[in-house]
Amino acid sequence: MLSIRNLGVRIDGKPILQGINLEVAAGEVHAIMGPNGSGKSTLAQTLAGHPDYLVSQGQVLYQGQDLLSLNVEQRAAAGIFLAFQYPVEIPGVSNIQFLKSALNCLRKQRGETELDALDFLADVKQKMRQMQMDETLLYRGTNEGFSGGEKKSNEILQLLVLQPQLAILDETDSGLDIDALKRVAAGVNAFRSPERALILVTHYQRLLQYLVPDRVHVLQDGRIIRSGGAELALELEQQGYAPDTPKDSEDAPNQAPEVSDDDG
Amino acid sequence: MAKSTPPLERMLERGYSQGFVTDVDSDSLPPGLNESVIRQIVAKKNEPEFMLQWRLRAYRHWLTMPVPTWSRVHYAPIDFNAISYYSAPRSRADGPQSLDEVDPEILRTYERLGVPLHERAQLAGVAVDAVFDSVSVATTFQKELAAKGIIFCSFSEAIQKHPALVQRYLGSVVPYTDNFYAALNAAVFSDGSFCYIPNGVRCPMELSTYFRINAANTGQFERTLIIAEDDSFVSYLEGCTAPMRDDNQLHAAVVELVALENAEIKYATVQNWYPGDQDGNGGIFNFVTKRGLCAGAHSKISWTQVETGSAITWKYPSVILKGDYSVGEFYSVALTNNYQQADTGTKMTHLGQHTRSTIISKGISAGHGQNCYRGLVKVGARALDSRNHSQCDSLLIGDTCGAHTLPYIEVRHPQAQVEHEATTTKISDTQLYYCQQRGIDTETAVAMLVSGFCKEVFHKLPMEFAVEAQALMEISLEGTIG
Amino acid sequence: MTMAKRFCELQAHAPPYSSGWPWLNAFRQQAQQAFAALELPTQQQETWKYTDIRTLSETAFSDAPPPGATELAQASSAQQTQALNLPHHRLTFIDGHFQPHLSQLGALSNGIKLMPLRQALEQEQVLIENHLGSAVEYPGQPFAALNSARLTDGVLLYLPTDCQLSQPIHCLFYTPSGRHSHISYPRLLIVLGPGARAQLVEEYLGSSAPPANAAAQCTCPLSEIILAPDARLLHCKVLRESPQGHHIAGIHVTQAAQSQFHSINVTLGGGICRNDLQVSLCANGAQSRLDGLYMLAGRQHLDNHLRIDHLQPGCRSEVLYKGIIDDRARGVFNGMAIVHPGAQQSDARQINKNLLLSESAEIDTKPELQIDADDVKCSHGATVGQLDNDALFYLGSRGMDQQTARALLTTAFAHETLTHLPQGPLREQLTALTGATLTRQAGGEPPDALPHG
Repeated sequence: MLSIRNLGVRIDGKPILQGINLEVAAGEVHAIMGPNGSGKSTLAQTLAGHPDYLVSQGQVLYQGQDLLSLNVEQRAAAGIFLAFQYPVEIPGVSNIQFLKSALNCLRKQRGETELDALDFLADVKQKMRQMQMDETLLYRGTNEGFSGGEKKSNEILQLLVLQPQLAILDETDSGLDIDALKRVAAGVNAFRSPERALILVTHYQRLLQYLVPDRVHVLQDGRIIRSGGAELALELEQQGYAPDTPKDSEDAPNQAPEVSDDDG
Repeated sequence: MAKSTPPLERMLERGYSQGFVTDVDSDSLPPGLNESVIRQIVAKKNEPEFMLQWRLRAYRHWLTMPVPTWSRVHYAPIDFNAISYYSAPRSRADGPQSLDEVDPEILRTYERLGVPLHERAQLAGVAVDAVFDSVSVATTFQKELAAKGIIFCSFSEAIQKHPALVQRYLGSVVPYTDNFYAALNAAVFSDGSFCYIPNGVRCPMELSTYFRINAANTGQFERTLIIAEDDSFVSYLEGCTAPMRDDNQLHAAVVELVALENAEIKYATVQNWYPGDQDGNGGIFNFVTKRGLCAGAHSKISWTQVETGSAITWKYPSVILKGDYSVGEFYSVALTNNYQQADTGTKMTHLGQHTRSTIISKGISAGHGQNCYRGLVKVGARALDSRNHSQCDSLLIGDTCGAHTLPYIEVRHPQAQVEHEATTTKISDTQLYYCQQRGIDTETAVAMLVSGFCKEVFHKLPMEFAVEAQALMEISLEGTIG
Repeated sequence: MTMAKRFCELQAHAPPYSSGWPWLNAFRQQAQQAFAALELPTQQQETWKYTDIRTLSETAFSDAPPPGATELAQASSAQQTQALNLPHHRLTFIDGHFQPHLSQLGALSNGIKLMPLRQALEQEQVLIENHLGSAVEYPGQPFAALNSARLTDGVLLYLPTDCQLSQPIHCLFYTPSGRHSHISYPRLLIVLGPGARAQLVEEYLGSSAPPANAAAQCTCPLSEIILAPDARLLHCKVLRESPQGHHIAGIHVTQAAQSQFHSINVTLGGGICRNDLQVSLCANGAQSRLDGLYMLAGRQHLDNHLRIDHLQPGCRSEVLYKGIIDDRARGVFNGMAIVHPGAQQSDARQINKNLLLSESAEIDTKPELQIDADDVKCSHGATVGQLDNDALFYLGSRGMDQQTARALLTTAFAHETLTHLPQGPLREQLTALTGATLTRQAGGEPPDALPHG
């Protein structure tokens, strides 16, 4: 489904990703782990098509298509969904209005008719119950004044309503208490199917207890330095990311070393 | 049918071939303004002597006034002697003969706004005199209003049938000395609406919703007077979201509202006159004076406006809070795109005790649009415990537009509370990206974010108007993000 | 006789200080022509809408002569008992005339120039030629033109690259009260080289107990401030004229990249007072913080006019002005932030808050934004009101009496404007001085009840 080849990305001229290779097949769940500043979120945003992230090398194929030639809305239409680490607040635009606009735009792209308003509402409410979300959140501004847990749940609600092909969850577990984490994981598990793929970007292993990945990759300094099965996550939790890296490294992304030309 | 010929050219050809020009001329005054013109207007309209004297005083005062230059709008000087100040109600014979002849762009807009089919032809100025459903609807409602003692008619009719009311209230809120365009309007105004709600009556419907077609052709110097007697209520809707055919470039209307004790007037406007083309050519100049007087205690006047049209808008719907405990409100959305200029805002003059006013203004500038909020909150020395809250927000789309905020606050009472807040920001990249990531295309996303920005004001519009206003914003914003 | 005519007549006289320096003569002449071409402001003009200076035009002001023994004694006593106590570097003027005996200049490191302007006009002509008049444009500023035309004396401060002055410079301008109406035109030229740091205080002081028949006085100062890249200036102005002391001042600032200007503008007394504070943020990263506090009583009239031009991208300005207005006094605030085309990433914030304490007091406030770029964060807020009833109630519930509670809250309201000052004698003295003024005002305040108590 997704094939990343030798991907390099710069922000403000500084290299962040330096030759990423990754293959994700339909039905698979991949976890990208790594210390802060390793480039995990950069990878997520680059796949979604954030305009600030400049691809300096490599290519990304998504369902056989050149992903990098598409803009953000075209990628969304093609079935890519990013659950944001910091969901954006949009005052004045109600949650329900936002969801409906998004779904109708996507349906239009797929050549489907607009959903009947009542069917839509029934579907959304059913999924909110599944996420144990308060229905009044539908009529508030999108994410406006939501608690951290409500924001993350709302991201997963959008995932369930919009039904993408490839979902990328950027630190969706951060800031959640254990009950919220379980709800979010249950929501994501409901989304899993043999036709869909998931990329989980996370710092900690705890989400992976509830969402078991097929593959785990360790990202450091803009490169994937190790890959393995679900057991790798557990090992990392116990031993830290790398022998020469302190466990809770606070490296900022812009402190990554300069890229050299013979890299990758 | 020769589809390749542009409609306008065909209209011109027909005009000449059928020789309507002389017919029309015979019922119009030649361009120019002097006392004789005013006497002729009064004669043609068969107005009483007090009207003649009032118009002449206004005209003489107008002659002494300089053209105002203080606003932030720029335009070539207007030649007031090149305007014809009287023409008989326009014959529709010189318009297009069917919808097929109307600019397809306009028709598309009607469709998107959801304008009912039978209204489209009339809005586009199609020369069809067949009786529409709406006319009979109008007649039905006229009867219902009359049964409650409500007078709702054209200004001309009011002058004939209710001269005492007109004489008592005309110019009582906006005197002809008020400003240059108010003086001009007083001297030459052609027609408009008159509305009188008797003591204790709650007007059972939104006035003018069902009459908007009839109001579509009121001319360039319109005058509206609404009087709400004690304990009465009226909600009035002016304008319409659909672009209307109009040949007059200068519009200088006056609206006067009088709310007596415990009365409430809600006045909503949607203005979508021709804004000129993408390069700033043409378009209507809209120089309006709107003012309400909360004359009685506990009275309330509320202005809501959505302004997306006109090349130039110059408009400050205001409230004089004279009665104790009276309330004034102003909710406004003004959008300027391409080369449009808007200088708009409000004046809240607190004279009585315990008076309250609220100002919510949302300005959106795109393209080369210039948008200026200009407001005055004045608290007089007697206005014990008066309060105002103002919130003026500007949204910028693109780096060639401008947004300006000029609030004046004058307070002369220590027991007053006035709060003014204003912000200016561009449309948020982060919000846009978030919408796009969810698959919402850029134009829809921009329209959605803008309507979210305007939400507080849209909420104040009557339901059906609010839906239209939202659609109107979408259309007006088209092409703002490349 | 109109004010314009009177000033034109004044122009016929040679300036009190004549110079053989052709550049200076040309400078004055150009300013005089500019002044003659400008109308004296009337209330028809938007920028003078709320300030009527006809009272000034009805007064026959003459150029102030050098002080006699009486004035010297007045000034000397005022300096010791009333003025701020910032003794390291002090330049004292009486009616615009420099007083070496009341002044003292501490040790200055190499290259720093601090001297009376008159001395600089002879010794520092290159510096003067390069900078004098460079921060001022005369159109719309007749009093700036007038000051330049009558330029006689004042202060020059120049700091070369990376020089730092740790102690504030205190410029004291004393206006003696007397039976004749005098006018003076102090000029300050402040030039900070790249990376330089300094603090400068302008204090305008009048007699604390003027006789009943004291004549009107007028001071018409102009400060030019030029900040090179990364320079930082703390500029403090304290206005404490007597009720007969009128004051029409300009402070014009140009800022280069990464420079920081912090102004604190305190007005505690005077007649008709006007401050035109104009800041041009000319290069990326320049920052301005403009704080102001005014406590007006009697019939004082104060008009603070601020204009901040964001000319280049990435600049920041922040304004906080607060006023407490009593008796028949009137406050005017006009703050204008202009973001010019192309000045992206501008950040401009403005707040003006006012308390009215009397039935006859008045405030007219007009915060303005003119924005011609889109990637900006601009905001302004203005309030007029009273002390927070909830806070008063809360303090009352803790056993505090009304008057104490009011004094406490009023002080907190006022002193917010001083919180951005660095700790030190200047901040302490301003806090004490404004606190004392508040106590005086509170004493005269009727103990009115809560409106909704």
